[in-house]
Amino acid sequence: MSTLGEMTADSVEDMTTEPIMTCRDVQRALPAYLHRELPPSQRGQVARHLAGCVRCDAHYQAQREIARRLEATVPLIGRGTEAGRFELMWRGIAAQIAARRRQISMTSLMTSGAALMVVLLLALAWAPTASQAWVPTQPTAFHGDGRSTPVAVAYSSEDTSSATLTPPLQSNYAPAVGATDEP
Amino acid sequence: MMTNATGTSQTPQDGGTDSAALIAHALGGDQTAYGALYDRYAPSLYRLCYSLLLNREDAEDVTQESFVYAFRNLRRFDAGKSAFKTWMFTIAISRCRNQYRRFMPQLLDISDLLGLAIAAPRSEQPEAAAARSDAKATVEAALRRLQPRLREAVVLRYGHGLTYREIAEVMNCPQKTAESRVRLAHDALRGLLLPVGESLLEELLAT
Ligand SMILES: [Zn+2]
Repeated sequence: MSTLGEMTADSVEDMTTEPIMTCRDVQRALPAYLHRELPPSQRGQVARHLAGCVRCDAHYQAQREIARRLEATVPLIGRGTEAGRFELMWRGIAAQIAARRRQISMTSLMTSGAALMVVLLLALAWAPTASQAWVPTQPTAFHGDGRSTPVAVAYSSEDTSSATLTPPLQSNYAPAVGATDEP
Repeated sequence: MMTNATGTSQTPQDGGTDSAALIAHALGGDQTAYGALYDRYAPSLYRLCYSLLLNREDAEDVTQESFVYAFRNLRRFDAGKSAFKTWMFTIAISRCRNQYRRFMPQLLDISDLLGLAIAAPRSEQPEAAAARSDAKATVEAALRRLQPRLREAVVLRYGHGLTYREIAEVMNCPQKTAESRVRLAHDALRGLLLPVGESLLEELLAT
């Protein structure tokens, strides 16, 4: 918090390297000068200019007066809010963060679950052809051939998986899953 | 990027290391660290939002949204680039801007009403308190009439003591622009806050 202390015309700076400041330059530099944020070289120049220029000094006095007023009052605006309001805001924030976290873990759970299912089904599909009794979801045996080729079986297993796993496989379905979770 | 190379040795009053530790804890999954960050920054963030929006409900909404966003994106915060406070301020300001872009006409209407209300005779409060709340109400009404960019500059400078470099960062503008916005705000507010014809200055400055 910078202060608007009295501006003393300090004379530590050099005046040789800096270009000469016009009235316009000085007036533009006043905000930084007021708040002591001007580099020392310019600061000295402004101070000297103000000492010798009535117009710029009038600007300076006016700016300083209003700056003092603002420094005393602007920090009061929006203050005095009861602790209860902050507590309420916090609850809202915490709830939103938690909801989001649940949603994320839910979708990741669903996707990893889905991935696991797919892997399992594929594994089943590629499993030894002898284990036909082991594939209960397979709609019908193929043409009574008995020798189902891997390609054909893979196709049918894909069918089953899309039937059982529709929600997680549609990426845009996930938010709806999460939404049921909202408080 | 912007290290403290601008000649001022002023550093953001941020409780630097403490905040860094809290952020690290929060990122590490410590839920209480989020609460601690909120406790630390909510009052000034709310005050910022209120001073810009000049409406309690909007300020509360934006404060909440800003924290939710910040907490969800905490990983993106780069302590080497900015202080946590100015990062939060940047988040909040962009949300305030969306808000007053939407509600500007109403804001102006209310300001006219308030302007009238303030001109009305004072209440019978004890004098000092009355003067204080009077001054506060007067400034609030004056801020309402200020262009949003000028209001932002004034609020960041006087409400929060930010340096011009920090104001530039939060407002996403060059530092010279931040300075000139404060100067223009001074000029605009002088007419609104200081009694007309109070001084010889007016005459001098009129030309
Ligand atoms: Zn001059």
